[in-house]
Amino acid sequence: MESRAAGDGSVTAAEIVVDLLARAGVREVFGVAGSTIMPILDAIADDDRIRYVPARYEQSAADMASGYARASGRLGVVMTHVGPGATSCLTTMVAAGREGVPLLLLTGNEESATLVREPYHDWGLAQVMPALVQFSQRVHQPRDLPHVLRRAFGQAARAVPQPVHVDLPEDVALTRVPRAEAARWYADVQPVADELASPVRLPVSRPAPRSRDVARVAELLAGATSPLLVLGEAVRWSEDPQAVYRRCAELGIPYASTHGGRGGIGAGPWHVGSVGRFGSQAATAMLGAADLVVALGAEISDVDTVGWRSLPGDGGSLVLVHPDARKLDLRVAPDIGVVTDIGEFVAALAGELGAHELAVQPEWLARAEATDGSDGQLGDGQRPLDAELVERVLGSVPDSWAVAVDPGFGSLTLTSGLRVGGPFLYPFGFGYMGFAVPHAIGAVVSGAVEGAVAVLGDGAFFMSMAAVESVASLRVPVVLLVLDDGGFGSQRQKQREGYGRNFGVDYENPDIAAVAAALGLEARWVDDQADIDDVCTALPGRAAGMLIAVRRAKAHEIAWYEGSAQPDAVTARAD
Amino acid sequence: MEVVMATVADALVDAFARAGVTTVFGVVGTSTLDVADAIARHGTVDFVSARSEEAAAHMADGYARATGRVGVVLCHVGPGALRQLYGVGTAWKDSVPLVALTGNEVPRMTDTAMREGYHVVDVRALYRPVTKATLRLDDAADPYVVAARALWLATAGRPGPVLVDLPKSALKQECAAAPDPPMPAAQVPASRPRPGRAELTALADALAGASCPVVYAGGGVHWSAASDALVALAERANLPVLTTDGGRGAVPEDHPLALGVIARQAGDAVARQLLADADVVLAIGTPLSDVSTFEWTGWSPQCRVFQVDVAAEPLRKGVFTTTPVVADARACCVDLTDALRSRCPQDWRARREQLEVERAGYLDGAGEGDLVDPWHVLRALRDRLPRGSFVSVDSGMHSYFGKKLPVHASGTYIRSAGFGAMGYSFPALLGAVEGVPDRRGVAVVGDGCLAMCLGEFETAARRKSPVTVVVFNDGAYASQRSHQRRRFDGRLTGTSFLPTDFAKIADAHGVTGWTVVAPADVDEVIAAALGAEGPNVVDVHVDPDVTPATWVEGSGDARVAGAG
Repeated sequence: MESRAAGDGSVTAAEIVVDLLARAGVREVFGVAGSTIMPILDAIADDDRIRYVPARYEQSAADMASGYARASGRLGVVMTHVGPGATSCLTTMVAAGREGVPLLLLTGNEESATLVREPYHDWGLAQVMPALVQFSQRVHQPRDLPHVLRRAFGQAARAVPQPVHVDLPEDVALTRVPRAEAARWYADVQPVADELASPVRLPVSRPAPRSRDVARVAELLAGATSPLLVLGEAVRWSEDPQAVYRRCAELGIPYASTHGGRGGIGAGPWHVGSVGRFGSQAATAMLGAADLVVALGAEISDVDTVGWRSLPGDGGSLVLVHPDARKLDLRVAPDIGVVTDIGEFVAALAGELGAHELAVQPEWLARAEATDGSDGQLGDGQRPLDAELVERVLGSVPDSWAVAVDPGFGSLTLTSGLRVGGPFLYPFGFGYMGFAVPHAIGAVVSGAVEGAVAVLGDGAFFMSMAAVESVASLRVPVVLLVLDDGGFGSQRQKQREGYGRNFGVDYENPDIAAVAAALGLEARWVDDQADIDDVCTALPGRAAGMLIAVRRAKAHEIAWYEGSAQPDAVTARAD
Repeated sequence: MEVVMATVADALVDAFARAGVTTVFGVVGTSTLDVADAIARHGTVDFVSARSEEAAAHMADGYARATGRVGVVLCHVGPGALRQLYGVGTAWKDSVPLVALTGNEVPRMTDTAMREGYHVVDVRALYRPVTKATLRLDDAADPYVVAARALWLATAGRPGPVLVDLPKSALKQECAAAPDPPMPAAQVPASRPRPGRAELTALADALAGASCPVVYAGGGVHWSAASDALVALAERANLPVLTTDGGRGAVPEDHPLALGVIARQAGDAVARQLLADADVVLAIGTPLSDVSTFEWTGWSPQCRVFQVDVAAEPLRKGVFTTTPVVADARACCVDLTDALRSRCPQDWRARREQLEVERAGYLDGAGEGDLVDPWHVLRALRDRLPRGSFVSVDSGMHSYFGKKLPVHASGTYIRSAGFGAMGYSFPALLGAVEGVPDRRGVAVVGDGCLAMCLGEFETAARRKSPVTVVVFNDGAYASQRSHQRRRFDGRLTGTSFLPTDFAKIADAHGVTGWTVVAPADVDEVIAAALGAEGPNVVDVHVDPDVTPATWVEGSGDARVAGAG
């Protein structure tokens, strides 16, 4: 019926969508098939420029696209069916907005004429989407397409990139228009049509700071006795993040990262690790003890500051430098706020600081040098096997691999102090479970990394089993480290501390390696050091995925994890 | 040992327990630890953990459908609430009475919520389109009042989901237990409005004067517990009864006056013909949506359609009916039974026989090929499934087969009729059997659907749920593949995947799993599975080339099909 070989010089709206995506540099589209997006899927099939990556659940598809965008810095695209399919993407879209991820959700919809009567599958999604994403638009007629996609790409390419949504009813997608007419629509959006013909530029612009702002910050920094730079998530949107890290290392001032800013920073003497509820204890204590904190592309959230408690104290100052003006007073009011690209700012700051003597105290530098990130938060010198496994595996993979971490007791504490040379993927703003595996897949599919490690607990494993299947069926080098403590370890600890009993947090897990094997994935348990040696030797250069499971004690006496007594710990360390 | 003071969380749990809530489904998170602990302290409420929030909501939904009681689900802030939304949306579309409790951060300007803290999202705004109300237990609110209001709103009028947002700060506050707080019953219906006298007369006159009257029953009959009253009405006045997909079981499907199911997907041709022949349709408890009316083309232009619903809102949503009647389904059936003095002179037996021939026709010759014919599996299930068992059917090609399993009682058909949520039927069935544990159920699912809820094998094993999951495994999103075959010149893109070994996955969970590849094994394995205790899985590798005759293409072609 809707034959693509029409031979009459016409194209469908769906084909126009695919053409516009391809012109915008989209090379991969993730999705789950459904009748309302069938026209687009069919158009992709015949277009050599775009590869379709099928997932087994829309949650998984959206997370793969998000991982793709986070690792590569390119626009991630996910395509789903109306109603339930689109609903399954909401968590990812909210997280993308919170965490600055360029993501396009393309949803099919029922026929336009039925929508007013709330047809099968449909609910008021159109009402809530605008609140969740930067831009949400239904396409009412084919000729709107160049405009709608131009806007979507433009709104995705903010100073800090954002998620966007385009809804395409099936009847619109199937509408045929003469090629000549479609060409005129393209021409209508000149000069943007030319821009559409090249990859979406992310971010859209990289403004430099005012020299007066740079001078003020440089002056403050030069006069500070215990200053700390904090690198955040927006560093990645500078032209050359590595140049930012290099310059920071050369300033002679201690620098940390937030959880959103982790990954690829390298090890220098003044790098103190990551701060926050899930970060290094020593680094977080320095955040509270500093007389000046300069946050570079970091939002300084409740997580980074352990619920706002670890901020410069009396007499201390806070400088927030961020490309997105909206972020400057979102959480805390800074003494100075500067809107600028981080690369531009650091380059200017380095130049300006050259003219100053630094007042930073030797004791402060010594304190920075003494941090090793690990903090000994595992306590008594007895290194559990799970900690050993995570550290050894992350140490064995090259910097060309990404590390994706799920929120959870084990995965967060065991990775908190470890250096990550490649992209570090973590839902630092929204903290949703089931994140790591599909994000690792997306990172690998993007080609930005050669492989990826996903660190997760059993709770996350059971929430993302559809993605585990995809590791096997897509044959991607994603290595899953599953820390199995039979339930929700973080909730277990909080209950033990606050309620004196465990309830609703213990599960009766099956043999997770056997489950993974049943899903078609090579899988094994690690029971001793020799097993760890085995898996680490074989890791670099792996072409296929695998799952490595390790048993983890149900109870941990760990002082350093969000709930437990950390304000005191911070204070104690800060004194 | 210090004295444990009662908190707001304790009072909230006490309020739900007093209203008759005995089971809460959920996934525990930091923001809901106080409620979880209060449930543990209270001792009379069973907490059923799921492995993901959407599954927890589906379980509460299945529980509500099976019992007529309010399903209660408890989830964490932000991501938990967002995942739960999928299940709440399913409940919304099918008018399922549900109370969704979500934890939240402290809603004060000085604290995390207002600074876009970790996890936080505007849950109430998100839930507004899929709930009857979004409530919040504020610091000063009385938890008994909030619980009573949530339960009342979930059950009153058209049932549906209600969100109660629970800020952490409120839950920890001390709260004296109310001595005897007034609480509504946590079950539907909350009230039974009767039809107005003039409207009743109009309905009775229309039915009495019709040459081909039809009663068309939707899910509202279940929520009103009106099945026996509907059967009495039909028998008294000799009225044939059709049901929507969501209304299945409103009359036992082997009743002589049960003339089939109207559905865009997998309905009965006999039913469709009857609807087309009707001159008066009495629609009870259905919003007359696109799927239950072939996109509003199911009856002749001359047909007069009367619509009865317990709430005004669903009336005239899909169809601008001339005589909308606000009344409880049961009350309406009872009053009409009294008001109708005449019996319809039509003899419906021929149509009933045609329906039986139609249904038997699907099964003719099934099992003769080398590959397993899906109809063969269906016949094996139909022949062995005890009357009154739960039947749960997911969304996809397999549903065209699965929906041909007979449904004999109200509340035993567990299906996402309005949302068409994939991955629904297995967790929803787990919830249904929590409500009626001595009744076994079967879930007919596709391999695409089951891949979306694999985590719940662990729940089924932990709860020893009496369920049989029958997987129609064809390595594809088969309904989508059929679209591609028919509408896209057979270009197959993105609709196939590598085969998944569900029996092996089940086995890894300690759930008995069978793989069936040979037609000769079908009957024996189905018999063994249905006869066993606890959960099991039958993974049937079905012939991927069998497309049911009732398969219609999606919305793009429904009008074409509807005209036929």
